[in-house]
Amino acid sequence: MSSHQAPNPLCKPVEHTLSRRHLLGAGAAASAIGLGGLGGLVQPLVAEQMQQKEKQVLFIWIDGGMSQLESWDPKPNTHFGGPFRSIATSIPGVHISELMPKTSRIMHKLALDRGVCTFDNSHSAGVPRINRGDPKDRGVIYPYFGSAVANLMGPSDSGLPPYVWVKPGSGGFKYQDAGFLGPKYGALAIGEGEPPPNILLPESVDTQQNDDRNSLRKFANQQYSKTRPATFSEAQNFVFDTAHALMKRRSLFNEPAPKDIARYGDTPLGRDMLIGRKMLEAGVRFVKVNSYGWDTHGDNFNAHASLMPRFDQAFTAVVEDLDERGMLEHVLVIAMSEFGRTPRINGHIGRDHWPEAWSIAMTGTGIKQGAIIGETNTEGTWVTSEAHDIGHFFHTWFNALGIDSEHTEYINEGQPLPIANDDCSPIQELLA
Amino acid sequence: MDIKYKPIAAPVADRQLFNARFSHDGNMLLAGSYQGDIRRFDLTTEENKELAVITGHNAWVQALALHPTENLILSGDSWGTLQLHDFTQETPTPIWAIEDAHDGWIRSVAFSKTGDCFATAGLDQTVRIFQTKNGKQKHELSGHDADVYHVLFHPESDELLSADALGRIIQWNLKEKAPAREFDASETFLAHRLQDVGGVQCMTFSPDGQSLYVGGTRPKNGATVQGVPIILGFSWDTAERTLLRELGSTADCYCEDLKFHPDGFLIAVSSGTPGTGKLQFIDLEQEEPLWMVSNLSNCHAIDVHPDGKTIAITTTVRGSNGNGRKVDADGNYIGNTSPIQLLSPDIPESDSPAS
Repeated sequence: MSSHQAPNPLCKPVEHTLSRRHLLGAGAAASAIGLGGLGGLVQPLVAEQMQQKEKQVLFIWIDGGMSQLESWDPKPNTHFGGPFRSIATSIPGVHISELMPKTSRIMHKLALDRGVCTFDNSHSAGVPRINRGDPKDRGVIYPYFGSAVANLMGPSDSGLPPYVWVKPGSGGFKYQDAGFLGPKYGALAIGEGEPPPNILLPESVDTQQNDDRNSLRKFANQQYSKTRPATFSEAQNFVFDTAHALMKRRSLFNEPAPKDIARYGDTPLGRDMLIGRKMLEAGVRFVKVNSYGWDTHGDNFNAHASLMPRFDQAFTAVVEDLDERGMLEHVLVIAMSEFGRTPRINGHIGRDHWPEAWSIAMTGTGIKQGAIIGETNTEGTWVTSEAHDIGHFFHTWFNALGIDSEHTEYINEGQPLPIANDDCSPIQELLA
Repeated sequence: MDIKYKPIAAPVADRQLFNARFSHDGNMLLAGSYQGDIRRFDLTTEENKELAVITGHNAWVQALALHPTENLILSGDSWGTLQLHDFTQETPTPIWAIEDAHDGWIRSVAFSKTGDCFATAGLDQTVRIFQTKNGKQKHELSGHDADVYHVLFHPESDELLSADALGRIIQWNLKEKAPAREFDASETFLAHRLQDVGGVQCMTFSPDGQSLYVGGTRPKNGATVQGVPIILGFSWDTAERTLLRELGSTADCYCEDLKFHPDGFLIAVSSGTPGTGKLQFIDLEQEEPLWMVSNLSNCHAIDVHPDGKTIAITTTVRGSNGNGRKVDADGNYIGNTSPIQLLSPDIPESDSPAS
């Protein structure tokens, strides 16, 4: 058996059994192989094209598993429905949990897929698999979505790091996300809203002194790289250069205005979402905003009663702000976890891990606003519509960013590699 | 005093249950369910036959109280509906129903000493008082800044207390519709990451009304909540804390319910990580419990039979947790249930109840 578990009889994404090359046909397969040889050319062209468009991504990661039943796909008054009511939204006939009143008013600006069916029910395996798009095993470690976008689209003209991760806890440079792309494409993590350590120029060093130091550093790096793998020095230089750009933007870390905090919520997520918005405004290509503490095996309902309104507030505020600024034209916004939560309610009044039937919300560039697709049965246990795996979403999001996911490939030391699971394809209903 | 009990029965419904309440004559057991109804078990039958369900609610029926003298059951659901039924009817119909008594989840209901009125509390952060005879609202009390989890009348003076998710307990001045004084149970609360964790889970007065006892947890973390189950005691005269009793380790989590036994000891149940539950008989003068059972799975509620002998503990099914799909032989998704453990004194020899 493959690394996937046996699929649910009601969970049959047809693409699970049809490869991309099958779908494209033998002729296309030959072309795809041929493209491998052009990969080194194709990729820079894509990057150049994307740089012109300045497309960006806001990736909101709800770590631990948001309950779909207490959020996007409520099943009120059913066996597993829980205590909460559903409420009408700005899209007639579409209801979401009463814990998301603000989101309900902007539903027409969002797209929602309630037919998500993935395969890992553990955090340790599920988080990386979902973040890497669950590619086929080709003997390499695939990049997280942020690293993939950083590689395929490059930094924006701002010169700021292409992949910034705003998170609770520690910051620093997280190269692990980059996989085979190499450390250059890792994430610069902003922990607790604080700038990375030592990134701000000490008051004792003036601009001229700093420039002199940089000249010396560059010279030393050139000497160093003559006898080392190029990826090492590339990564070092890249990170230093982008960090240097960030040093010039220390206002990004200023205390937010009280009125902004009031709108986003004076919570870790609210404050991080505000930083995320500022990073996007400053030109960061890919911003991941992270919320921890959603693994509600115990006390799920009291937990969601406090968690969801705080997500609702921060999420709605950032979508509205991006919309008002015209940024949804070029920013792709995604909100998701590694899986949903079980319909069954355990003895600790919690819900466990449930990858079988959950939901992902998105909006922004390339996404069809108001598209509500996918369906689960009346008790929320299984997907009854065509189920979508994370590979489908990677295809969809790449296409929303203007990247042809079925013809663009990474070139890893000469090896062409699909950028998304080649058994899957874009979800057309979600694309504008 | 023989304080060892043994299991005698474990009636179970096809849905999870929140609580268990004996009727005044002890012949019936009533419990609110996770799916919009009240379940009744006839304890005069050998198999504790389940009677016709009391319908008309939506979602969770967590709030349940028996009238102090009459065969009436007051129930509140998580969509804000209150109902009053004569639970002895073969197929009970509501005496009255109020669809929007609260804006959403009603967490607790409690009758006054005479039963002429009752109090309710809920997710809308309000406490309300209604007339029992017609369901007409008398007061709406605002002052909590969080979900109100529990309401309770003093057994002698009929003073009203309400307790919330932040561990704040308010004694109300009903004439002024304002807080008269407060009891500090904030030790039961923790703000962890984005989550409000804990709060007061239950309250009870000592039989003489001189002490208030509050159950909850001392939270360690949110998400999969862990914490040490605790009982806090307060002097009714001074509102000062007089007792802190830990009931277990962080895996034991919440003290979910407290009741005084007619013999004078306090009964406490706890529910922790899935499968973890304890029943404890506590002499408040002693550090060690008089008797404890630790092999019950996730205990959520207690009631004592009018005969003072049998006790009912609402539990859950061990092993009912787990990630991913659990299906039966026919491929049907498996839910959970809540066996109500009935225990009676084990006079000749001791044994602990089976889970």
